[in-house]
Amino acid sequence: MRPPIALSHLTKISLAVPLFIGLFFASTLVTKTLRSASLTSVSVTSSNPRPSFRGALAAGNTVGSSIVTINTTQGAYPSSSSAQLVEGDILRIGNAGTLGSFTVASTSSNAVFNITTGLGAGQADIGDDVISSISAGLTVRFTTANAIANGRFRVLVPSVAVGVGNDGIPDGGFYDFGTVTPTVTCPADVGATYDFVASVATASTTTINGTLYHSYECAYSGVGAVGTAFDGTSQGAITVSSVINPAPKANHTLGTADSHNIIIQQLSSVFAVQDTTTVAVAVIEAVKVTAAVPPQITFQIIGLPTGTSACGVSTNVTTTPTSVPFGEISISAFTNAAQAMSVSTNASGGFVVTAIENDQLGRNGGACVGDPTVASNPNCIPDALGNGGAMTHTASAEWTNAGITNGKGFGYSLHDLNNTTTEAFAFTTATGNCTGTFCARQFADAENAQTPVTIFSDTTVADNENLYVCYRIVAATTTAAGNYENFVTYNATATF
Amino acid sequence: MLLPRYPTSLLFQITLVSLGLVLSLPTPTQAQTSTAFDLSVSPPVTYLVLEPGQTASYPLVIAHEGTISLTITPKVRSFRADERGMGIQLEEEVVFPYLDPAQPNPFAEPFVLQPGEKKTFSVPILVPTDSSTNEAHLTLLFEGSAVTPPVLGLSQADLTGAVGTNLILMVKTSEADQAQLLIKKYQGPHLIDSFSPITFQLLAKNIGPIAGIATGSASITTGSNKELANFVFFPDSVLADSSRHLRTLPADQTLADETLEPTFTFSYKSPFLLGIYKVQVVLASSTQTSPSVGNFQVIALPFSLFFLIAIGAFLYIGYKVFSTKLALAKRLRTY
Repeated sequence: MRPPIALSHLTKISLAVPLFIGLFFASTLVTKTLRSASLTSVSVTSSNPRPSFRGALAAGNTVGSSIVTINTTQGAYPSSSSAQLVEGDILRIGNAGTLGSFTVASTSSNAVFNITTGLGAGQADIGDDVISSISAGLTVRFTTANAIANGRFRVLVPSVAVGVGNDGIPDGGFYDFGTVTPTVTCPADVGATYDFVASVATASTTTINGTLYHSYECAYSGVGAVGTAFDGTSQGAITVSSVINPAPKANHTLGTADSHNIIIQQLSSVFAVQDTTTVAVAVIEAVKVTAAVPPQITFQIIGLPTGTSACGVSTNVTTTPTSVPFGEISISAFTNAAQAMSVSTNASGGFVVTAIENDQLGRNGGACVGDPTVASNPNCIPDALGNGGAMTHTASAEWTNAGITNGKGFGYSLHDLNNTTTEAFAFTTATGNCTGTFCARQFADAENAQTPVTIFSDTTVADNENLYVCYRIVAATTTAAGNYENFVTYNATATF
Repeated sequence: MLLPRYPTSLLFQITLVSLGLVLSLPTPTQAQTSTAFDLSVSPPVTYLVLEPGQTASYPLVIAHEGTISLTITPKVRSFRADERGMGIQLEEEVVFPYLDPAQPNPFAEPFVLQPGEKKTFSVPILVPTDSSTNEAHLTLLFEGSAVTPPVLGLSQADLTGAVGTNLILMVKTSEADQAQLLIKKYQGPHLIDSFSPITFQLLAKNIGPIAGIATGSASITTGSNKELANFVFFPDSVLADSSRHLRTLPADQTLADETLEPTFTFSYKSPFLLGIYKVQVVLASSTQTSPSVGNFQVIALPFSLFFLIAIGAFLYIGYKVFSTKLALAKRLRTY
């Protein structure tokens, strides 16, 4: 005989299944009503991510000195490096009651920085406070997760106890409320859904898991809604006008961000926390970019390839920075070559580039007396005289005819390709003996006791001022076969 | 008609080869991307004030950012300022006159700078105890030439590029040795049209034994002493026994600006000027106790208006004469 209350396996299963399903749905309902959800798309933006400075003077500071030495012992004070400071920061130095205001002029080492005025009496003692408060505005953006009627949004910022937490002096690892209550700006009303009625800021009032927080609240009336984006675009965001950023945490590593947790909550009408999300805000020293630019002058000479368009002609010689290898020179047509030159200087007086040749082109480097040397000298390629015979090292003249006696020889012109500098003359000069096709000059001849001549210059700082120097040569029919050579020297000097 | 196979192939090959040659040619831009000769020296100008018996070490940094090795030959030249005081004219090569004989001579030997290399060049200076007050104007030139000698057997011009730094060495024997700046010349019209600006240039001369920095200003006032413009001098250095054109900054620039473009011409423009205007120049060096003061006058008259009136009168008279003659001729024809 079977026991009366015994159930078959089938019966057990048929009872268990609906029970499980029922419990599942019941648990879902219970969860929805009891557990807080998270606000979504939450962000907190700080208008200034630099940490405040909270350090102390080391020994060796003197009254009247604008050089300040701080204590760099790691951990002794929240701030232990002047690298945290930048030029223009406002500092307070001294003891309570003698704190003076100073401006950072520069920082020179980890321990030392300069201020624009000297330390006063009572502001140069070992252990005196060195404080720079970095104030920042906070902008809080989020999207609601639930429709909570007549509630409030609350932003919690980590702090220390009242008294220290709101004295306006930066606290290591915690935000200071400041001595003046900041302004909390709530979003604009969203119809009858969120009708913001008041904003409140309170120093160090809320404790969560043993940590104190400053509280910034926006209360509203209305039914609330799911998915309302208080993101500063769809709807306004919450802003807090000013908090004092934390000084570095204990054992802070320079250049590494300190992270601080800020909590955003949505509370019910009875101040019960309904939704909450925690975001981390990083505070880090500004990246200090330093560079020293010494006064200098730079001179560049650049060789140009065959076929370069310079001074209105196409060159037929490839030059290097240190030579103009004309090679085989025609006796009936010009051989043209060019180099680019450039000067940069930060000297306020500018610069001058001069040129001089050691002599005219002599056969195997031999001497060529006079300038130009006598035309009958077969061992020289003289400095050319130009079409009209008026060309010298200081007087420009047109030089386009290679078939006349005065046209034979060596000379140069200038081409300021991008109008960057002031050249002595240009190939396009069309005054005096020049008509603007190839206006040219001789090089000053040291052999003939001539002095170097300026080819380009400027009277103020120069940034890559450049031009082409165009060389031109043609030999006379009486010139003896052989190799001809001279040396041209360019000097680039700054003006005093 | 079909073309023969051979010529077509040849044309195609020639085209390809030509295209290849053209594409392989370096362009000017390519040629300038790597600079073989790129020499710099720092600082470009140094002012040293020493007393007899004093020593100093004058450091220079010479750097080569080019792509070829250079042989650097240091040389010393004296220089003099040109009339405007802006350009320098290098003169003869000199032996460095204040080289400390107890130290190694840095000018004795050329040295080689490899691409990217930088060398600190220190000049040991000793002012002999028997030196008198004077000022030396020296340019220290660093001539760079290719380490690899030029190929012989070609007609060519070999080039040497040099970058120079100026040393103004002032030897003072007493505190009384100071710069003394004077206004040497006022260059500008004294009679202008009412619609023209008042423009002028100023040449300063230093009659003191050492260089000085120009300070002071030039102001333009009306006959009733109302100031119209004030030009503060750019702090240029005027060397001993030299002249220099003074400069000023444009109205929208201050010395704190990053880019300065001082000008030589002092100019004041007004829609209409009439009468006597005074230009007062107050010039001194930074250590000069009594400044040099110059007063100049500019008279502005409406010459262009006079000219227009004269033209108008001339035309009117011409018209009247012409119309009278015309009327007379008509009358004669009637008779």
